[in-house]
Amino acid sequence: MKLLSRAEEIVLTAILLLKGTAYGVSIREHIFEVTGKKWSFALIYDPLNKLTKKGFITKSESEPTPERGGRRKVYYEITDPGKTALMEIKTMHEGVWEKITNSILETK
Amino acid sequence: MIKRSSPGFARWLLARFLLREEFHEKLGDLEECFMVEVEKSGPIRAYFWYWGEVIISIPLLIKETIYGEGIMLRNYLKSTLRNIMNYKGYSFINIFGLAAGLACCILILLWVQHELSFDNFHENGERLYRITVERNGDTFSSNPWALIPTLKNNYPEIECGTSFTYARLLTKYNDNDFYAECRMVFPDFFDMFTYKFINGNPRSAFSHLNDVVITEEMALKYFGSANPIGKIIQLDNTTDLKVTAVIENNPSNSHLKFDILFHPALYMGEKRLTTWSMDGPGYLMLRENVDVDEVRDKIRNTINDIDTRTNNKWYVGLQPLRDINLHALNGTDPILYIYVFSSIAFAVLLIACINFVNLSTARSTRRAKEVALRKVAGAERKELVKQFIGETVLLTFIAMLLALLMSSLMLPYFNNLASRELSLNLIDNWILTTGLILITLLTGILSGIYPSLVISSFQPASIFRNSFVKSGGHRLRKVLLVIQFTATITLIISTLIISNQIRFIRNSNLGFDRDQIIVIPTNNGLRQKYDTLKKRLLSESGIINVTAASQAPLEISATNPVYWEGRSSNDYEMMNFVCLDYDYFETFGMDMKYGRTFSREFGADSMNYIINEAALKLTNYKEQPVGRMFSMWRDEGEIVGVVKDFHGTSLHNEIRPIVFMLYQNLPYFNMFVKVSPQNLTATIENIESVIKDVVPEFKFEYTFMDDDFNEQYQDEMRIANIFESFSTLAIIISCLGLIGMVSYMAERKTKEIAIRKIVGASHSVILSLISKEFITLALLANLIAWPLAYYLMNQWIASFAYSNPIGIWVFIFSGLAVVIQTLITISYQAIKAASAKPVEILKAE
Repeated sequence: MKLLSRAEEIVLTAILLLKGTAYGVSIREHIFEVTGKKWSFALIYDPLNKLTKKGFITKSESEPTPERGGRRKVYYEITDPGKTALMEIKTMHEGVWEKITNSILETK
Repeated sequence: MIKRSSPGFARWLLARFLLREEFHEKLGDLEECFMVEVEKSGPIRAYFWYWGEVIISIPLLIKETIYGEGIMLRNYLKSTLRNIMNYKGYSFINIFGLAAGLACCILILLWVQHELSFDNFHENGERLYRITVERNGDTFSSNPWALIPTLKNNYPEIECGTSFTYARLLTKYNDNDFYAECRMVFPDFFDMFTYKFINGNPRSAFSHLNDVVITEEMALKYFGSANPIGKIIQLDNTTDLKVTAVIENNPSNSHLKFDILFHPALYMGEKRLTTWSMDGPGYLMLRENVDVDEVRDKIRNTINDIDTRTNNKWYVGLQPLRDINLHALNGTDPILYIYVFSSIAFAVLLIACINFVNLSTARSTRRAKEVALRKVAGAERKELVKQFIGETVLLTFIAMLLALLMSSLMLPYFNNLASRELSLNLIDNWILTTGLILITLLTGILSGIYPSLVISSFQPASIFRNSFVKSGGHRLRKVLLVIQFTATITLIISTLIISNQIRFIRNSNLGFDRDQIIVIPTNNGLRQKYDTLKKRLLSESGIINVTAASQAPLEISATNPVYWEGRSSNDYEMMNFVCLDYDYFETFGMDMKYGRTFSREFGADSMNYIINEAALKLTNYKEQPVGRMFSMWRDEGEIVGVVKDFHGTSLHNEIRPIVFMLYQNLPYFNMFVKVSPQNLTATIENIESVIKDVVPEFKFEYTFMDDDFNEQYQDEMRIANIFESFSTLAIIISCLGLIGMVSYMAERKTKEIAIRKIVGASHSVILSLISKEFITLALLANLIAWPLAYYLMNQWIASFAYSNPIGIWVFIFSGLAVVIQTLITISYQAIKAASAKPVEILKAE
């Protein structure tokens, strides 16, 4: 089975948590809050496109808004297969990290 | 007020990389963030932030675009390949024609590049000039020995100068002897010209009078692998030369050709170097930042200021070193050939491109359904144009690869033809590489743009409804065909005229006999025993006549002051002269106009002169020249005969006045032996053994006069050969295109032909139906091509003083040839179309 990439995983969790208000700007902000890293713009569209193609998320367009220079927003929503994929990766993560404690990771 | 909107250019830039459907989303997101940023940190920082975002994003977006379009690209590639495979004939004409055109361009480009690079490698090249001397409208490269020292003394603008006087002399190291191309130069030579030193260095190369510098090739020939420095070479069996340096072989892109270099005093003698006699060319180097035109004005009258005795003025001039290969002193400038060949390359490429465009637009209807389907499936016009241009660019790149293969295969043949050593090296030759890529892209885009616009404008609905589309670009195709026909006819006419003129030169009666004459260069030793040798040789079988002269009739160039009745040594005229032995006129079969040739029966003949008709015209003797007074740099004598004019120098020049006299003591002297055509090899062996017997130390070497003559026109012949090859190629490519066009036309009209046949049309009616259009175009092209070719060729012909007039038949023949060739192609296709059963064709509907 093909696993999600790390970027896809982060974007997918963001969409899940944003619950229907996920679009480019909010996803980016969310990622900044969670990881503390600022992603460049193009960087989030790449995983978004791939996730769309895999069928893990769906797109819907809003009406144009003035603060966006009259351009439409595209909202993203997670699908059931998307949730399954996240579930799978979560269990796997937990399995992988189970026996790893902070004390093992400490450097001298 | 500070602008609050996002930077327009950055937005535009970003939009180039976005697909249409994601345009709104991404730009909108970015815009929204920009607004937030403006609130947070002010418009200026927001501005920079926006730019930063755009620049970071572009590489990623490009990656994404490629990925996204990859799928489409595969589809395009597939349909391109299918199209190539389905219409093999057309594809062959398209790709092969273009490849041949491009190959031709590559070769010509290489050649032009090589010609333009002549003598570019000298570091001081910008400051180097060849001295020219002009007299009576003729310009010579020879200059007087005393000129360079005089110039150097009088004008501080001149940094240094050197002679470059020619001599072909016997050189010897131990028992190893052969003739070498010697050039006599002053010690300044290596301060002026840049050469790579293999042994020794430029500073010490000429520190002593008898120092000699030889090329690598010569070093190998004399000494093999031994160290050449300090070795002694014997020159002309008299002078010893010490090798002080070895330099690289002459670069192929230099007009300075030599085997060995030494000081002129060694061969000419110190005394001659102070005289105003001319033996060879010379070069000057000006100081930095000196205005050449000023120097030219100053030195122009140097010779006239010193020698005031004559009305004949000698004007000194300077020719930039880098111009020498491109501008001849007299006759046709070689740069003309560069223009001519560049035009041919352009014409061939044009013809090939026209084929490409014509066939592509013509075939566009065949692809109407594909286009319609793509449109229905949602392809935009922009996408279709991209697809078709991409397709032609792909085809041109295939053609380019083929062209590279073809040109590297043809290069040895071409080198042989052009007598050059060109090599095709794409990595080193970045100008060529970029040029080729640009040409390919440009050809691809230009030939793709028109068909792609036509094809993509089709309306899907009408295509599906009619299944038959009026093909677009009819008028354009006609214009292109006329251009193509015109180029082809012009090339055929030019080729015919050039080969005609060359044939005229080769076969024209020069006024003297050059067949079966052996030319033997001599040396001092042979000269002393010449009379004995001549007697011995004449007693051999197969030898018809023996004579000797300072110059062969082909290369008479030395001049001397002369005067005649009514003039004096203070009022002289300069004329070419030949010093010769008895039997000169008999050996070369020259006819006398008045009087007799030199003869032993008249004791005083060594004081007498023979002149040619051109010289007679200058004197006031008119019809009675025999017995009248004449003088050339010594006592006055009389004219005993006038020889009929003959074409000694190249037919580019008028016949010059020449004086002949009996005198055998010049340093350069050639023996001429007229032999019978039977047993030529045996006769030559005989000559060699007789010479060996009489003058044992002499090294026998000979040429045939006929070959020497051909050499004089080598440039013209070479040009003619190259021209013929390339225009043949152009004609073939053009025919290929025509065949493609005609067969397409015939194919389109099969239905019409079928119906006409049913109604009762005969084959001839059908033939005229198809051919009418093409023949009209071909005739129109003739109207344009004739004056064009006449104008171009007239200019070339004008560079010959003697030429074959351009005959009207050349034009008629070329025009007819193209018309007939068109007719044949058409007939073949038309008959094929006409003999098909109408039922079969109409049934397919």
